[in-house]
Parts: sequence; structure tokens; C-alpha cells
Amino acid sequence: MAYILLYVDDIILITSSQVLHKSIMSLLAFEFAMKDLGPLSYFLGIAVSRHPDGIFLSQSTYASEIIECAGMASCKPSATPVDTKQKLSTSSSTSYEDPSFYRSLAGALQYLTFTRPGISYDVQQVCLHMHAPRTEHMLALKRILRYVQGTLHFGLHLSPSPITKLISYTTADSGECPDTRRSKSGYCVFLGDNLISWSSKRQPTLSRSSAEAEYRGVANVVSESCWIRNLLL
Amino acid sequence: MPFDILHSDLWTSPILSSAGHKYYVLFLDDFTNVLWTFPISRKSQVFEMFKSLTNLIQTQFLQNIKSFQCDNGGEYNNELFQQYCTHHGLVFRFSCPHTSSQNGKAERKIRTINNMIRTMLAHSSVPPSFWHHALHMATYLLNILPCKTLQNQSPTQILYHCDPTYTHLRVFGCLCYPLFPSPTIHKLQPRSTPCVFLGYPPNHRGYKCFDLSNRKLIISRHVIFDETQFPFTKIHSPSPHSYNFLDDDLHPYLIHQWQNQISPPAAHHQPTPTTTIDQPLSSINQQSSPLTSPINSPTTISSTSPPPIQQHPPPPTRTITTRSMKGISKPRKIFTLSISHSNHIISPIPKNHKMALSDPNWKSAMQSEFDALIRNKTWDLVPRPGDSNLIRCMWIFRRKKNLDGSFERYKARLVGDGRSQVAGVDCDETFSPVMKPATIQTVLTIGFPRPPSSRLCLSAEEVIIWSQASA
Repeated sequence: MAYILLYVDDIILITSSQVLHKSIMSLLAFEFAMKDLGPLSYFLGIAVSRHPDGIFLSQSTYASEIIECAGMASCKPSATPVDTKQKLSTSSSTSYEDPSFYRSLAGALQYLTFTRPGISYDVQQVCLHMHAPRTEHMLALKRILRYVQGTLHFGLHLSPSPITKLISYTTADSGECPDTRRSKSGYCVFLGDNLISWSSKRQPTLSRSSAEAEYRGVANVVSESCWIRNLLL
Repeated sequence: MPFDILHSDLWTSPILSSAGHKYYVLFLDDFTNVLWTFPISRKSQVFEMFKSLTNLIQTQFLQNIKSFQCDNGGEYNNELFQQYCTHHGLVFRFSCPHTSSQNGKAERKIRTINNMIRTMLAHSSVPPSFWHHALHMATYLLNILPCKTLQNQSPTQILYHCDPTYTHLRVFGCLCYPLFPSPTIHKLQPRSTPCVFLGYPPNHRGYKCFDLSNRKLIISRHVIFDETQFPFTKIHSPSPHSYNFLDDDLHPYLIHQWQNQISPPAAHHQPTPTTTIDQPLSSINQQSSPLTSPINSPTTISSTSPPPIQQHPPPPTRTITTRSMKGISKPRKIFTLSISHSNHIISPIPKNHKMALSDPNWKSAMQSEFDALIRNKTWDLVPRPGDSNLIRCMWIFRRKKNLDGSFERYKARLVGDGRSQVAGVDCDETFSPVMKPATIQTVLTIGFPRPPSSRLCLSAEEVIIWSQASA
């Protein structure tokens, strides 16, 4: 059995045997000019390190680059990524003077959620205001960066586990967005013991009850689960 | 804020410049460290220069100078200045009498400038009377050089918010060949003549070149430089201390000492009234009869091993305690400003393809991208359909990094410029192929319980994306 993961010009090749691996390699090399970079250690900016009990995906270099780019290389870490009470509104405080800087940082953080499921809610909140950032939004973004500063070594652990079950969890709030009164829903999908997919998003439609919001959340996660099931077939 | 405080000072040159300047006046903005210097021939011109500078700041930056720091010199402390200040609401800040340290910023800047002028003149053997050219050059350089107090930004960067360029800088006093304008010559005459480079003219984008044959200044844009040749060294060789006029106001005796050190023969013929520190009492006796003192006394200065400590003559009017005497030293940060094409220094990311072509590293990256496009037969040449929009192409330059952040290689990509399309007119749907993180996670989860020997990461050198555009 062999898996080929292709992203533009980066390929990960996983095979069940050395012989198969060699034959696939020679077939690919026959068709394309290619370079063998050896065992997987770095892919799309993600460092992959191996342990006896699994592999660890980490973006710590990338995270510290974002912090440096924001000019916060020596900032004090914060214990949490977001304020639990305050909800970001589109019309609070004054507009931030450098929107493109805000957008570039928010976009950079979005990619960081690849190995950091913990901040996906906060990053999504910040990204909601990319079109018209306010000073308050920038403060929220900096709070995330300060949290990342303290947790640079965090990442995603994948352990070898029997692949028997695909388990999905989901939840939704009821109309918490202060501007549109739409609901947010989130989910996470586990394959065996490993978290493989997660999301936190504002729903595109308005729900009139919390049950409706929950149903939409369930619909989202079901569609995601179906997609992953298709991938596994 | 810029122009909140302006420092100023005047320096008197012992040597008249070739244009008749006897002084130069310096204005220094406290916030940005931007410097203006004007060589002048009379002290009364200081006020004119000050007025023209305030007008310049008013017009260029829409700002007014709020306060003005200077010493008590008559060129500042006079009726004209005071009238101007009361009329324009400008605060005068004089230093106290005989307290030049209160005007320290301007005074120190003068020393910096004079050091630079001396270095430039001495290095290129340009006659001292050309000091006003070197002054302009020093001012120009100080304004574009990074400054430690500004977090390694340069004054012009702070003032104009744009990065200075260093590519046009040339060595002061070097040999250059400006191109003669074509109307002045017939076609078989030489097109240039050897000149000496004397800096950058203030109101032109070009170079000031001094024609040695007819002693005229030529301003030209098209100049070829030879930065290893200095024509003035061949014409005359100035003595080592002909640039002493730029030194700080040392005690004349110290200057005398220093000159002797430079020219040891003079020290032999003329016994100097110096003495070592272990015979301080006898020094007075020696002074009274300098001619009888033995020539080969331990005080004789030799150029190879100067005595470590020298005693001043008994009545020193003023002792200067320098930091080095007290053993205070700070490590000096040295900036590398040269652009080097060696592999050790990573080329900056170019702003456009023209800049990239001038850098061999980027040029080779562009060449390999171009070769790959040609090799894969990416293009078909077709006549342009009449009613269609053309999509321009642009270059994207990127430095690839290794996992540890170290430099890996230069990468250049030729891509279509999305800005040449109008959404809704030329295209209706845009999407970018973004991978779904869940895929990678899933594949890794499935793949990794398997034997660990069979995981490899390949990187294709070039990408071929097949796409079909619907008309």
C-alpha cells in the first residue's frame, strides 16, 4: 500500500514496503525532475519529529517568525489567548491605522492553526474583522501572539493507534455575535486517538433557536466526517 | 517630533576654502539627527542661512522650528535673531557662558564632521582648501548612514520615510571621467577628460567632477569612476600635518608634540622640552636651558617606540582627561554597509526585476526559472485575439529557508499578475488551491504506524500545472 500526498511541488510518499517505495520513486523520477530529501522532517513549514510513541508536528519556527514580524519578539507571554467576557464588535473603538499589517498577521496566524487547534476560535474571531480592523481587534490579535509566545513549543501529536472509529464532537452557541446575532459552531473529528480535523466558525445563516444552531453545527460536522470517510475508503 | 529642537554651532576654519569660505555653520535637528551645513564667508551670513533653513522646513515639511539651541556667539546673540524669534514665537536656548557642554550635540557633531573631512582629504590628498566639498560630502553621508541612537535607522529614513540607497556612493577624491555633452565637441574629439570626484551637487542628480586641466567644476550624470586612483596624490604630496587645521582646539603645545612625533628628524635637531614622568622636578631646570639638555636624553622621541607617557610643561593651561586615560572603553559596533556578492552575505529581496537582474544570485534564480519554462514548453505563441484582455506577468522573489531558519536558496517565480484582471469582466470566480489540513493529518495518522524506513519527502524542481481556460 502506498500514499502520496502532493502539495504543488512537495510530495510525501508513504509506502508499506521498501521495494514498493523504490519502484514508485523510480517511476516518478522517470517522469519528473525530482530531488529526494530523505526521511520526512519538514513539510509546508511544519517540522515533523519522531518519538517512540508517535510523531509530533510543530510550527515553532513559523510562530516565532510571526511574533518577530509583529515586532513583539520580547513580549511577555499571556496565559490565555482571549478574553472570556469581551466579544469583538465591528464598531468598537477607532479604526486601526495599518489594515494591511493586521491582515498579514491575521493570515499568518490562520496558517498557525494547522498544528494549534487551541487557538482556532481566537484566530477566527480576529479574522472576522479583516476587512475593517479596529484598534480593539489589533489588541485581541496581539493577545493571541502573546499567548503563542508563551506556548511556542506546542504542537500536534499523532500516535499510532488502531484505526477503528471516526468520532466527531460538535457544539454551538446561540446568537453570540454582537453585530449579526449569528451563532458560532465548532467541531473536532478524531480518528482513533488522533485529532485530525477541527473548525470554529460563525454560521452563515441566522438561527432562531439554539436547537437550530446546534443542528447546523451537526450538519457541518457530518459533512466533514463524510468527506474524511470518503478519504479513508 | 521633528524640528522641535534645532541645534546649531559655527566652526571657524583657519584655512580659507577655494571658494572663499572661512566658516561653516551647522544645524542639527534633535529628533531625526538630520544635519544641514553651510560654508559661509562672513559670520553675519549665519542669520541668512538660518532664515533660509526655516523657510525650507516650512515649505517642505509644513513645520515650524520650536526652539533653537546655540552658544553665546555674536552670530546668534544679536538683534536680528532676537527680533526674528520674538516675531515667530521661537524659543532661544543659549548655553551658559564658557559652558560649551550645554551645546554638546552640535559641538560633538562638528568633531565628527571634521574627522570625516580630515579623513577624506588625507586619503585622497585633496588640497585643504577644498574642505567645503568634503564638508558637503560628510553631511550627505551622515544623513544617510544608520545611526545608533535611531535604532540603526538613518536620519533621512526618519524624515522622509524612505530607505536611502547606497549604490551611487563613490570614494571622495577618486579619479573619474565625466562624459562631455555632445554639442560642445566635434565627433572626433575625446569624449572625456580625467577629473577628480568631489561629491554630489545639492540640486542635481549627478556627480561633481573637478577638471584638473582647466580647474573647473563639471556636473555630470554619466561618469565612469576609478575608485583606486587619486589624481591629487600625483600632483602634490601634502605633508602629513597639512590637515591639522581640522583638529579640535588642542593646546598648541600638544599639537607641537604631535607634529614632532610624526616627523622624528625634527625632534632630533630641536630638543623638545619634554621629560619623563619620573623626573618631574628636573623638568623646570631643563626648561630654563633647553639648548644644553642632552640630545640623546630619554625624552627623545623616536617614531618606532614613542615613550608611553609624556609630561606637559609645568604650566598647562588646561588638562584634558580623555576616556582612554581613565581606562573607560566601550565596544564599538561596526556596520557593514558594503554590498558584497560573496556567498556569505545574503542578497536582499529585490523590489523589481531590474534590481534582481543586477544581482548575480537573483539573476541565476531567474535564469533557472526561465529555462524551466522553456524546457517544459509552457507557452504557445499566438496572435492576440482582438477583444481580449492581456494578463501581464510579474516576478516573485523569495528566499527559501531551512528548518533552522538558515538560508537555503534563492527562488524566482514568473506568475500572472492578478491585477491586470477585473473581477466580473475578465473572470467570474477566483480560487486558490489550498490544501485541507485534515488530509495531511489523516494520511500521516494512517501512514505512521507502518515500518519507519519508508518515508521520504520529494521535491519536484519545477511544477507543471495544467489548466484550461474557457473562452
